[in-house]
Amino acid sequence: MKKRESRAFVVVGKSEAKVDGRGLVTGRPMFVADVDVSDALVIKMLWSPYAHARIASIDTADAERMPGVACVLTHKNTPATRHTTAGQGFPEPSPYDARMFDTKVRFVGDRVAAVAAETEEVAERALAAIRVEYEELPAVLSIDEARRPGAPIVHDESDATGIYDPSKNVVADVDIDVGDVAVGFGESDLIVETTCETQYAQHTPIETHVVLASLDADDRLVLRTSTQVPFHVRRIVAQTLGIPVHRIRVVKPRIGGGFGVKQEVLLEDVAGWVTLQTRRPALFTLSRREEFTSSRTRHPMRVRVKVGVKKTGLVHAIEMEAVSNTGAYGAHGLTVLANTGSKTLPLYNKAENAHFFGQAVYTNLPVGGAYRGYGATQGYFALETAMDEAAERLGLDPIEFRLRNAIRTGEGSPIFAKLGEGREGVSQTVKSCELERCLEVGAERIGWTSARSKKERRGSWVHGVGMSIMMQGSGIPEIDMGAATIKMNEDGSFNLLVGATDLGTGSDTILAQIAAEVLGVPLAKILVTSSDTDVTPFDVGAYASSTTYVSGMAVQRAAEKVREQILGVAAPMLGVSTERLALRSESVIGEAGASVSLSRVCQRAMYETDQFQIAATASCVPSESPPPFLANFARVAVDTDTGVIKVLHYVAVVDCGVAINPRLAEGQVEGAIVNGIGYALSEEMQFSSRGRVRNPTLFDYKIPGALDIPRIDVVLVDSYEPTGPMGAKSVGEIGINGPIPTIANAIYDAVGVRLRQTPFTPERVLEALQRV
Amino acid sequence: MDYVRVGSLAELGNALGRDGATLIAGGTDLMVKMRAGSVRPRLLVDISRVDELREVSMHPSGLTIGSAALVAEVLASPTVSTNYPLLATVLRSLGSTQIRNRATLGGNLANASPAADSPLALLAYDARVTLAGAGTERTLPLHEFFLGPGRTALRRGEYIRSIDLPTPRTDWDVFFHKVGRRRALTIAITSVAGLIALRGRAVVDVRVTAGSVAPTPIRLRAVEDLVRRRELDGEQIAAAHATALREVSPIDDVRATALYRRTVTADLVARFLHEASESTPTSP
Repeated sequence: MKKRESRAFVVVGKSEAKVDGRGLVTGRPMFVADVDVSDALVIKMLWSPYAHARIASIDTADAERMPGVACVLTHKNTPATRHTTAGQGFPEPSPYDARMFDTKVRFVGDRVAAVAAETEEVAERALAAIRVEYEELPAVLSIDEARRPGAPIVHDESDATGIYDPSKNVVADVDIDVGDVAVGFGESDLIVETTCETQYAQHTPIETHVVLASLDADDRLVLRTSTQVPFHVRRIVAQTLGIPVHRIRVVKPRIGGGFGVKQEVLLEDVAGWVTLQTRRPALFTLSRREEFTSSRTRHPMRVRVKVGVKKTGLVHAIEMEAVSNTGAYGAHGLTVLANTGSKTLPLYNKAENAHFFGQAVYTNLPVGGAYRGYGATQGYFALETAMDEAAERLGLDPIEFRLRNAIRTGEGSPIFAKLGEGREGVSQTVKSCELERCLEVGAERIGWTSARSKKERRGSWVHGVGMSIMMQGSGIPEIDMGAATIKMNEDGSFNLLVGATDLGTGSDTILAQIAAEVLGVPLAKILVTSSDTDVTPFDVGAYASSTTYVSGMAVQRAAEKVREQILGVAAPMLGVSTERLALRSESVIGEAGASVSLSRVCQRAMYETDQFQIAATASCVPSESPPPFLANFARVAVDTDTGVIKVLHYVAVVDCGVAINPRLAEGQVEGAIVNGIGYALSEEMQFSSRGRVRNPTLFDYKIPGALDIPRIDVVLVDSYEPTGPMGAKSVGEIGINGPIPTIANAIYDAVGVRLRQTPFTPERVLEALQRV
Repeated sequence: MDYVRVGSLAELGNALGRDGATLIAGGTDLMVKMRAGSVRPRLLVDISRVDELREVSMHPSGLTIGSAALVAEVLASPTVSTNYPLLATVLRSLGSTQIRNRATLGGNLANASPAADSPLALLAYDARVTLAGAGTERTLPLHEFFLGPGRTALRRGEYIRSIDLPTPRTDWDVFFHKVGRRRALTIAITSVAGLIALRGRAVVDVRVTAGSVAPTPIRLRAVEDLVRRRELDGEQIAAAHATALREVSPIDDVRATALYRRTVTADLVARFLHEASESTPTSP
């Protein structure tokens, strides 16, 4: 196979410094609340104290009378439109089950009322003065309770739409078949079955949700907001508030992380309504506690995997059943569930028989949402645990077992066509897959053969090594769209306007690198403006590992169009036809060393001859979603006295095609591994018997600190994706799927027990060792 | 709320006489509680600049640490690391570098958390605290200072003047192990500290303390009494393990169950004794 196009890149493939890095590290005012907010009203929300209750009455008179209170919002004075808060393409695959303010509350932390006041203190006092009578209802606090016949119904309202079966608390139901698994299991020589459960977790971006609403000179609503999806925010706020799209402008400045939690319209409707009602700017910020109790979480899941394997070591049948807890609203309920199958099962395409089915159910607990990995994380725990077990029972090295069964370049999987973004998918053949190389490099780095099955003991500590493999995707085929506009300036620089959303991921930088590569200029000559709905072309936003692949291709196409225009202007200047010209080193190069600078070309187009603006817009709607691949290896130590797990060394070897910016790509993987280690070992939202979050603070909800993170080696293997911009695939999510199964398999190697519930706290490890 | 920074013990005495006075030094516990609204002092008396409260000095009868000495200052003292290595070990696990640069030893005691780290070493070294008030001064053993979670023997108008540690044995071996959900900036799920002096395998003297397993940090005196002046063999360690299981009284909370705490605390006690008898510390 072709590893890489022969062309040598100049800007792409270099670890260029981030285009926004200097401003960020010098503390320039770049974030939502970094502008002057001194005249802004402060919004505070009254949250439900009950998991499930009807609002019998709500009296805001005292609160409204307080000096300094500008307005109080409840279900009585706000639009009642049912919508979804999930920031997805239109029409959204999530149900319309949310209202700005409802007559019923469905989880502890659900919206009851909002106050906008001159200061936070006044707003807090006004909240305390709102008198609400609740009729408490029985609540469902687990997926088992939700599915029990006669269970309380979380969504009994008549105007919700898009719910699969509200009377049974079922948001979504997926069931797809390839071949016949019953026959397949019958023909198999070995059956392995495992059920794994994952926990509620929160994204904990360093910047919580925040939005500043204001009116511009034309009284249009301007939402400066910390979001991953500015265009979806504009559409959903317009829909929710009943105002035209053209009366809203959404601006995303720099933001302090998203990880999926900001693929959601959580605050913008309320802030927008306050500003429209009061004609005052309004600032709405979630506290860290509110971020835990009232924003979004990772859908907890129970995933059962049954694998049938032939004596030859080939997987013949796979069945995966997933039950997902979407919490009180169905945001991303269907699509996260579908991705649990669609992003995992194609990896083992040798299985002629496959069955994926499952449901997403409502409970009276915090709301699930998009979270890096998006269902695949939950699915890979069970799948890669089952594969480890199957290899062991076959007496095969787990690496060898993966090599025999994993998808390869030139191959497809019927799952690709059967299961997509909550509906049928898109058939595709994998055109770049370097998993074999990933496994080889990873095994060598971790010292697999010398460390495996040694159970080296030091006092009460026992060592083990484990591995796992995975794939993700690059955007959502035939749904996602990214667009880019490039216009040229007379000094040979270019403005690159993209709807794509840089969350701190570095996407502004890599998109600029792609443009610079095509246009033959250094990175400094590309001026990026991103994520402003008045200025930039449309982009679905940053989710589904789409930006590099989808938005990147849009940028490449726009740059190619601009290049054609430049050559068209330069051709008469150099006296040759455009086919004989090249763009290099900020010049158009003709024959025999003749050249003309880009600035000269643009000056001619702007001021001199056949004047026009050199500029172009291009879009990309991908027809496939080439998966990045990852091989994970970890060496862990298990303290058999205390149950403490220490990850000693983690190796992640990645095929993401050509890394546009290797250091940023490595950073995405490293960050995802750290994120995943936290999810594997310590992060867990805990609930009281009445559905209240018991640890809604970073004091009690432990994300990893520097001392918890081992040496992490991220290795990017040489690869080239022929359909990607400059050979690239996306890489934002895949890393987070690795730590759970890899650590679990390493624990098994060390002490011979399989952990099937995350996180692997000291207590759960001791339980598994049957010591408590 | 009022704030006053006092510069001397005399000024401190006066300020403490005022209504609703609350002492603040590093503020690493108090400020968190104030932000959460669980404590609303009317008057903050800042003792962080009172030099007399910041001394760390070794003298013939032992070590005196002023209550407002920063944890980082205590850690930086060569006297402490040489003569009281368990105290240095334990303090290194307290909070983070930033917190150790602000927090004071007296503050860690006054906060009276059952999960606090520093008391484990101080109790093991038989520390005493000197409490001063309006013209009075009294000294009591540290174990009598702690009354329960957040509750101490401090009376209204009193403050912790100093912490005094007697001259230690020179042959103590030390042990400390803290289990948390992560390795730094974490509250102990359980923690065990120990000092032990051996002649061969015979226990000349021993101290065992534990955190997060009772309403206050505790000495496991039944364990100590069991193994003191005995030969440290497998049977003796098993007996100590069984005694430790009975001697702790943990609760279920957001960090772990009582069952886990009890099991692991006893295991850590056994590990302490086992490592001492084998002189092989355990590390991953």
